[in-house]
Amino acid sequence: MRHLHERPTPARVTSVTPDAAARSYDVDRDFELELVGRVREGDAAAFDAVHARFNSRLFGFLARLTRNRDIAEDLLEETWLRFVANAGRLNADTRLGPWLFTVARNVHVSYCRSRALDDRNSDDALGLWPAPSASPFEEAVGRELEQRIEASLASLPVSCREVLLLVGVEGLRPAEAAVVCGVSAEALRQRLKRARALLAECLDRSADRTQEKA
Amino acid sequence: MDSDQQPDSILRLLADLPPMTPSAACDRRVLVRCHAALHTTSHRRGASAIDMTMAAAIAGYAVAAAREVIRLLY
Repeated sequence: MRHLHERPTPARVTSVTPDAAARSYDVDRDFELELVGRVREGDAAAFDAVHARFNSRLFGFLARLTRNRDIAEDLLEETWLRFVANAGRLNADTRLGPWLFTVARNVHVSYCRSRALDDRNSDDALGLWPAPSASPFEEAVGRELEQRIEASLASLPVSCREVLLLVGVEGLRPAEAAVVCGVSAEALRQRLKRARALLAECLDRSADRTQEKA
Repeated sequence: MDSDQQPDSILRLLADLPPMTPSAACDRRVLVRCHAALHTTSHRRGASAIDMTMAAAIAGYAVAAAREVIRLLY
């Protein structure tokens, strides 16, 4: 049986997330420092530049964490407002990505605490993404694959999901993800290992169910 | 498949997930509120600079007045 996560991987597989790393820090460091300096001064254009760069990423992170678009939009708004409120207190050498994801995660944690949410229920995740369209076969297969990954991801405990989102989807370095989650690098490494194993297990079960249906 | 390859292929699958975007209404709302907050902050900073200048001027005047009083008394 060929399972989903056993898809042939191109090239080497030594580094943690080679593709995602490029996605994460395509920001030129000098430009980032300049943006931080200008945001600290209350420059609206600099804020717009930061917003344009991180808005979709933060939304994706929050939507996959909350498994609900409307809640994710509310938390996204709160994240940006906190960013603006604290802009004047940013350190000159702040890395915007980890800083913003830390705020977004804290906003989500506060939200969960305020609602005393039970994270185990993942049924609502099914309504997050549009159903596969009746388009060409490849597109349908691709959509189905994406949906299986999203559904498997959504079924994981939030502590595993956030690590996979930060490192796998958003391409943060494990050390940066550790800072965002407020844990040591070693704890993050263990959590990531466990999360990957859980996701692989979920994908296996999902592949089995698909084959049974077929 | 060995145990090293499996985790990386998992992360690769995640890295390939499509980006998600908030609604245009959400974007508009965020930008309006954040720009307003930035404007208020910078306005407050400007106001606080004026307040400090005024306080310094008043303090200077008070010191000069006190000196003058002392000079007239003695």
